[in-house]
Order: sequence, then C-alpha cells, then structure tokens
Amino acid sequence: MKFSLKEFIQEKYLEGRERDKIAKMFRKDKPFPHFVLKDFFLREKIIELLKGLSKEKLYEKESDLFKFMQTNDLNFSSCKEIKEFRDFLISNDFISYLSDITGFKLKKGKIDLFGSVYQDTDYLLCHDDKLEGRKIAFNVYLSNFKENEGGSLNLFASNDGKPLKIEKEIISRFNTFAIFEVSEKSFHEVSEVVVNKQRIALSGWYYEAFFSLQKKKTFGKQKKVYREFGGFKND
Amino acid sequence: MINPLYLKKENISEIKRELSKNGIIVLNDFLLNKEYKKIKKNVLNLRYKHEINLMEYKLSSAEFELSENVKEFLLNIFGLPAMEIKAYSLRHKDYWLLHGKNNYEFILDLTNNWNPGSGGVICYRDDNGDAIKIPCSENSLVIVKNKKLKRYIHYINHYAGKNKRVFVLGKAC
Repeated sequence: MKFSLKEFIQEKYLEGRERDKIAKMFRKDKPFPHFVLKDFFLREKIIELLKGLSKEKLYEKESDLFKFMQTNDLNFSSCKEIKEFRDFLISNDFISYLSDITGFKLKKGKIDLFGSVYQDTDYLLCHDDKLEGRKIAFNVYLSNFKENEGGSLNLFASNDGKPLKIEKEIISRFNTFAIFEVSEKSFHEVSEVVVNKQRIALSGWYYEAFFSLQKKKTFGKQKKVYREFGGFKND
Repeated sequence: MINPLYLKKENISEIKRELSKNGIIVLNDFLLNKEYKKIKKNVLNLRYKHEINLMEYKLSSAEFELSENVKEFLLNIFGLPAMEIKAYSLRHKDYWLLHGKNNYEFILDLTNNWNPGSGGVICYRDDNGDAIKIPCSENSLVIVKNKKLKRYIHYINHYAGKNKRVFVLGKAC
C-alpha cells in the first residue's frame, strides 16, 4: 500500500525548514545523535495504533537486564490498525524522510517492531542496542508520564566505550516520536516506573542499507554471523 | 558456631553429593543464633564503598573476614585452599548483572525480612537460560559448585525504600 507522509505526520514536520532543523538537531544533540518530536503523528492515527496495540497479547519479559511486558513481533500482526501503521513505517516515503533527516542509508521494507508496556517497578538497565545492521532505534510513546514517575528513556554520556552518566532524559509523552543512532556509544536505559501507571510504546529498529558481515572462524571455515531479527527486548 | 546439623559427617557427605549432582545447595539456619547475630552486627558496621560499572553492577562492598570455623567448613566443602570473601550491600536502584566467572561460590544471606517484590533476588542461570531463584532467607547459605551456573541479582525497586540487601559472598575460580 502506498502512503503519503501527510496521511500520518503533522504537516509542520514536513516543511523544508523544519526538516533542516530536525536534521541539525539530530546531528548536534548530545550525548549521541537523536531527536525527540512532540505531537508527531496525526492524532487519529495514534489513537488507531493504540486501539490496535490493545488487541495484542503481552508477554512478561524478565532477565538480569529488564522487567516489562512485550508483544510478539508486530511485523506478523494480523491486526488491521497495527498493519497499517507498520506499512507506513516501512513505506519508501517515510524511510526516505528518515534518511534525509539522519543522513543514513536505510534498508527499505524492513524494521523490527514490537509494543511494550512498563508498569510499576518495570525497568530496562543500561545497554547499547548494538546488533549487526541496526542503525536507528525508534520509539512512539503512547502514554503520558511526568518527570518523577519514571519510565524515561535516559541517554548516557560515555567515554572509551563505557557509559558514565545520564546526559539526556526523554520523558514518555503521548504521540512523541524519538529516535537515536545505534552505535558503540548509544548507551541508554528506561528508568524504573515508580507509579501505578502503564508506559506504553511502539518501538523497533531500522537497518542499514548495507553493512559488512562479521566473520568468525569455525573449524577452519568462515562462518557468516547475521541475525535477521534481534531479541525484542530493547527500547 | 555452625549449626551442628551441618557438621555431622553424613550430612557433609550428603552436601557434597548434592553439589556433585546439581551444583547448588541451600543450607537454612546455617549458623547458630549467637554466631549469626555477631556476624550480622559486624557486617552491618562495615564501611562500604559504592561501586558503579553500569554495564555490570551498581552495589556497595567491603572487605570482610569470616570466622575460622566457617571458613574451614567451606574450604572442606569446596576442597579449595582459599577464597576471596567480601560483604555486599545493595539498595534501591542497585543490581548485579549476569556474572559467570566463578566456578565456586557461596552466599551467606544476612537480610532480615526481605520482600522479594522489592527485587534484589539472587538468581543462577544455567546454559539453557533457565533461572533458579534463591529464596530470600536470613541466615541461609547458598553453595554453588558449578561452572555452568551464572549469577545475577535483580534490580532493587522503589518498594525497598531504605532497606538494604546484605550478604557475604565468597568466590574462587
């Protein structure tokens, strides 16, 4: 299905000058390239998306690094509203829009996509999201949180490959679109939710159009190591 | 003094058998009350240093020496000449991510009335990814003799308030 950007995105974000501003923000904002765009999608599309997500089953995820609930891979969702939103996210127009802003060559027609719900005491500790081919991590926030309620996406300043301190705190606000470049420096976390509320988000990754495959020697042979889909655990 | 139950020859043999078979065992009421209270008081009065390595842990630790009879017991179980022993204290926002460098370790739990809903649960994960959660129980001793089990301690959430998860951990590779 073909979509125009206007069908999903607020018009103000499509104007040339605004795009340039976002591109500049993406390159310059610290601690690593990212942007946070409030009220980004058309409200009716976001409400449809939320309606679709509410139909998806959630699974508890718990390990040493995280505790929250997550949907299955939404690329395979049979829900009409999710499918439509996903089709827009992988549309050539939207991928070109992201490529223009970020300056990255992104793989067309492919994303990882899942929904997550963080409740009281849920968290995701510091990690970098790095996995072969991932270039942009994105989040569409679907609930409103206040500063002291937790659930913020915190970006860490780092030195020599080690995260040091939180430099940017992105509060979950309804209809905010946030992206960051995935790299050796993209250390981030989701802070513990400390109130009885649900932090709902649609998240995933865009991939590089092309990248070198990591090669490992296995019993004298060169084995290509490539994971099509990453573990769906990150924000 | 160690609970005399655990000093009986047949019980020591059983502990060793269990460790060879499953690699992990929990001994409840490990110390007699008087000895336990003494150790706990000493551990709580230590000067802790808060250490942060975000990709591995956030916790406080302090040097600590166990009494000779406890060390002897453990060295007999492990069959090792020495272990590195430290006291640890974890509070709200602290954690210890998956850690698998030790083939032998023990944890003496000194936390009173810990609510597992506050996080801070000690877990051992095997090769298949299955986790064994160690029940939070004061004066219990977990002994691990298994290089396939890797330890982690859950993030401590806001329900912990000012409570701390305190234990003594000994390890050897």
